[in-house]
Amino acid sequence: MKLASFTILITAFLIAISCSGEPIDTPSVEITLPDNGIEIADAWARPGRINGVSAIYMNVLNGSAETDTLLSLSSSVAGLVELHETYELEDDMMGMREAEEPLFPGRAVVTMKPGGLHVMLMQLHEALNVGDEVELTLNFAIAGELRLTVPVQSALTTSSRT
Amino acid sequence: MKFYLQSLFITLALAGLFISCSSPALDDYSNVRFELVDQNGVTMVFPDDFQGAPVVMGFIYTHCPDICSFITANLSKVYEEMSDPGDTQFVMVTFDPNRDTPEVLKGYANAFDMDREPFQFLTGDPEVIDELMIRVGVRIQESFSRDIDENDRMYFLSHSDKILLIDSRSRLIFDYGGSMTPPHIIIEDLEKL
Repeated sequence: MKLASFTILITAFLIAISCSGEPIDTPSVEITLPDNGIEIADAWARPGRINGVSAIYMNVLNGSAETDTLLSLSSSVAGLVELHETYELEDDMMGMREAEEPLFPGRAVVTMKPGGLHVMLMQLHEALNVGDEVELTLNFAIAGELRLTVPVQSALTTSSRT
Repeated sequence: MKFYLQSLFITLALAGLFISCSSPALDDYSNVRFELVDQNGVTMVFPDDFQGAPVVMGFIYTHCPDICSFITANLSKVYEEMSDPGDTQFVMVTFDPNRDTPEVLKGYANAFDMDREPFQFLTGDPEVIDELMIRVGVRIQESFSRDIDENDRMYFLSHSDKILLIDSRSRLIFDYGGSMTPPHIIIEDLEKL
């Protein structure tokens, strides 16, 4: 009888543990910096409807020793393109604002990801559907102009914001 | 006497187990009534028209630059990853009804390949939406705006990041961070209902 009681207690304890929350998975990504200048990796845009908005996410790899500054952004698909950041307010509220200091430190990677820094496409001239491509130009103070072709991917294929 | 003590001990343990696994309601919406419109222009009443099956409900606005797309994607993932979704209902409600008309919501749903069963995108009169958001605890405030021209203004909203799990009797059972909760956690909770 003692053994039976102990078994039930342990079982109850294990099931109770299984009912509680679990930690969120965090993906790990290995990124190698270029020897010099700025390179862009893993860029993708999320779908958007005409006259609506979209966002582009990427890794900005600054291989030079100096901090670079993003001076401007442009894209033929949007009337307005800016660098924005999502931030958490009190009471689990999420807000968005224009990035105050578009600085990219030397020998470092800046990750633009859902829930953080991102390129904001506003006033879309056309709908962006999965499989489309978006032209994006980034103009850096030191690295100069970088032109990208960014694939539109479903937000469904990316992990939850973490 | 020893037998009775052991029985009492086991009973208490099982009671503890029940309490830890069951999900007491956080709120009860059965006594409220909100008249809304879906992306096809069909009038829906929450919660009356949703009773009888669980509801996974997220809150968005289609001009949302970042977070809302991941709330939407999370809702879709919950459905896609459920082995047996049964008659579970998946509902997105806008808190920006002035811009999010049924037509706009339909375009947004299309962009996510969600303009289909079992997904519904709801809007409504601004006063009704305001009351609904207060009731479900979704907070909204304008974060910044910009004049496009003399007649048009672009604005963005700060808002709660939220997905709710409502049971078949219109009781709020779980309240999640909408964009950051892994779908399997919501699925596990659905399976406990």
